[in-house]
Amino acid sequence: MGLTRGSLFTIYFKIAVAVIAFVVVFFTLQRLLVPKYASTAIEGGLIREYYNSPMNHDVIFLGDCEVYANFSPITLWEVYGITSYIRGSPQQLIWHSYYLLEDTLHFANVKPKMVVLNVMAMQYDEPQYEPYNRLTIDGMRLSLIKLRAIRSSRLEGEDYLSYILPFFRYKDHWQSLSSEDFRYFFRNPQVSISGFMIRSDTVPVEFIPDPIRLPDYKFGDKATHYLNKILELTKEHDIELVLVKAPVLWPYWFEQWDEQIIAFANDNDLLYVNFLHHLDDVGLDFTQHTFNAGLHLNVFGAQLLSGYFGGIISENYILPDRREDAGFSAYWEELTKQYKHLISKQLEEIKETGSIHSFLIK
Amino acid sequence: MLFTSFNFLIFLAVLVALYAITPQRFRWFVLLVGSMTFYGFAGLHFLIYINATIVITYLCTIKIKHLRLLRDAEIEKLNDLGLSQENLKEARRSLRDKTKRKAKGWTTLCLVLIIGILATVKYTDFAIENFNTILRLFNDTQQFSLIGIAVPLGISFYTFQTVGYVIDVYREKAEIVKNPLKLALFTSFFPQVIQGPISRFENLSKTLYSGTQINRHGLARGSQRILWGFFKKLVIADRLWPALAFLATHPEEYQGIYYLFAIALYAVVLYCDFSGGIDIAIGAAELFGVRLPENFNRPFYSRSIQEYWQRWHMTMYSWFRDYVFYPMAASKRMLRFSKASRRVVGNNFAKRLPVHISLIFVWFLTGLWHGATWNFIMWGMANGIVLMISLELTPLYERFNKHFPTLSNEWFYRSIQIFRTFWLMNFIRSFDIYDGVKNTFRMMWSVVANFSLNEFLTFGLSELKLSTEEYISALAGLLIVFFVSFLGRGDIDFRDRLGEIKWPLRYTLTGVVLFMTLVLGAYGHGFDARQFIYNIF
Repeated sequence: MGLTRGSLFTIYFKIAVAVIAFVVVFFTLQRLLVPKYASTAIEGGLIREYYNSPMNHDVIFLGDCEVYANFSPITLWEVYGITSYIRGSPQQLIWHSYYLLEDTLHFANVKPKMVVLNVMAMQYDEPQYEPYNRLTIDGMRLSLIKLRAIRSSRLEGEDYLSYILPFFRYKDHWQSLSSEDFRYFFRNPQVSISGFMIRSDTVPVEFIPDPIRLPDYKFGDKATHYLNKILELTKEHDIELVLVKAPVLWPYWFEQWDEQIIAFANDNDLLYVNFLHHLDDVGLDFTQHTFNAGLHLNVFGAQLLSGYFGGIISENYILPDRREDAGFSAYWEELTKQYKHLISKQLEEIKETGSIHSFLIK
Repeated sequence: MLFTSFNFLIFLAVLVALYAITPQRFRWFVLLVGSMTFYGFAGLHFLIYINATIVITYLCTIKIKHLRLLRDAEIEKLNDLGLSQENLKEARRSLRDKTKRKAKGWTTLCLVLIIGILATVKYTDFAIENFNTILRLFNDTQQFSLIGIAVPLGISFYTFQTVGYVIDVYREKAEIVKNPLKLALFTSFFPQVIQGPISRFENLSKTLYSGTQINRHGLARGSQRILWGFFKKLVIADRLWPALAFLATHPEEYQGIYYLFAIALYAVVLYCDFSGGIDIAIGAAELFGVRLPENFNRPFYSRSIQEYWQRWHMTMYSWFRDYVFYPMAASKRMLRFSKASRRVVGNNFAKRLPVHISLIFVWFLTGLWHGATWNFIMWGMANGIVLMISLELTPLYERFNKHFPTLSNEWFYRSIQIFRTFWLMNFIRSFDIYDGVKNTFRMMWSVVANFSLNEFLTFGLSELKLSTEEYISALAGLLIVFFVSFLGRGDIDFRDRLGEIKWPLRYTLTGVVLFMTLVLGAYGHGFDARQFIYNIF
């Protein structure tokens, strides 16, 4: 017995209501349960913030904490008029950097003129730890590039589905929901200035742990493969590639690694700056310019490093000074204001309580 | 492929789509391909065992079919010989007896071979271990190494289902399947192959081969049942599992009252795990219009252990009853033994002796079927002994009920009986929780020797690997299961009651269960996807 048009309509109507209700509830719960990165692991918010920027930067930094804690785009802007963005996240592996570069080229409104790659991650040839994968990949916009990034980074037990629908990764967060999850339900907190994470406190270096000898110092095949892919991609898009090693004292950067990067840079006619050899030129003092005993620079160390690095790249490459461009300056002036505001707030907190409590821009 | 995995849901969706677009007479073939694919996911080499069982069963039953065709043809011929009525009758009987004897031979051969496969893969190492123990007792240094065969998924279930079919064929209760591929489908039908329910051919074949068109009603009901299974398994069983595993692996620290907590927890976990898996199996079959038998009927409302076994794992219980217990208790040998023992044990007890012996044997087998360990054998024997005692006490109960005729209808008396049965079964199930028989008895004894309410009140449940939120969510799930089972009393499917509700409320209730499962379920990152407990049997 066939269904009448009326009863067919009722069935379709019910199905539509059920599907819409499911989608609404599912995505509401997903939004509630995913981490907001407002008070803990705020680095998790770095990657997603790029899409809120104008995406028209001339310089893109790629790398792990050695970029997002050590280079200040505001200094590059203030001193050289260079617009830059740091696409960095904790333990960002070399293939993460490759896919973030692809992602940048895909979504950016203006193609960058230079890519600065920090080479510390070359030491890793395999994905290391699921939470670090998450801190990088979760923030990427959904695209085929993201799917490829997932495929390259997955550890055993990780699946595509939970990257595409993070509900399935964070569903157990219901046990520890806090007011933060509701406060940042409709908007994400802003944790960086153009990808730079501000730390104004100081914890001086007291000792440097001895390096642990490795059985083999040769970079792995996968890391080398993705380094070559980054090179190819920058060539393809006529982008200058600059390799850097940030001036932090540990984890240890071995001489054998440095030699391989020098050889790669020479073979491909690239600029490679190992800032560990320029500590005095930069003016770094590890009793003042680090917030965690030599592991990362604080904002003042980052300003020194960025000032020095800005000089190198503006001398060696043609990068436009955008300070006279009204379209850029309004945006960067606002960023500079936010940057300075947070630094003074943190310094005030240090004065009053001995430590900083504010990490968010807004 | 785990029932509660995302892969299974995709597999199911693809199979439903293929089934729907295939012409009706070939739909059963889609189910066969799906079933073999599903089974192959567990390991391609396991397909060898199940297919060996199918081939043996097919060849033996088809031989029986030929014997019967031959018999019928010869009986037909007899009619034309012009024999007297009496001689004709005698000749027919002789032919029938001859065929029956031959059929019995083929049936026996079939059973020996297919049970032999089960025994070889599942019990060889157990036998070697015990043999080695005996050798050690006699200070013999010779030890035999274990063969370590991986046990194929669900071998106990599909073997029992096939054994049932072969016996039914012998008893002329089941039609003999002419198409070997159809027999393969009966043996390997994917929803039930790993943990049952154990179906009878005459029931399952009614819907298995019919190629019923997939319809909205079946899809809705099947999906509801699958969701309910997921809810029980993920929200309750898997959520509580870490606490149970912790208690089971720390018997030295957690005794007395914690032992009581562990056995009650196990009742909940096992029920939600096993019945949840059965819900998924029945629901998945319903999507294709196939009806599987129910395996649970609110077992924790049972007022006696007999009743409990008529409500828990019903298809296994009825299988043992029909294929082992009745044939054994009513066998001529047993009756002769009963007669012979009259002088020793008295008339009355001698009459009950076949029942008791069969009962103990059946429960020994049931224990062995559950697993090749002495714990399972002890579990089975404990069930048998309690049932035997309960049978012996029947006259006493009857006298008691005669004196207090209205008592059995009183709610408090019924509650006491339910409470008693629940805890009795919990104690018996201890053998399933703890490692080693001796250890299990020690834990039982700890209720007397090491009972400390104070310890429980001081430390509570906080040390048992679960957070307060997890206990609360599992408890909320349990309350819903209890509520649904309460509404489903009197053989009414809860889904029928649900169907009577107006659709907005019905959809909302379904949505609540769905989102509770999605959010509160123990799955995904941080959880090991855990097999169903009965998958290992």
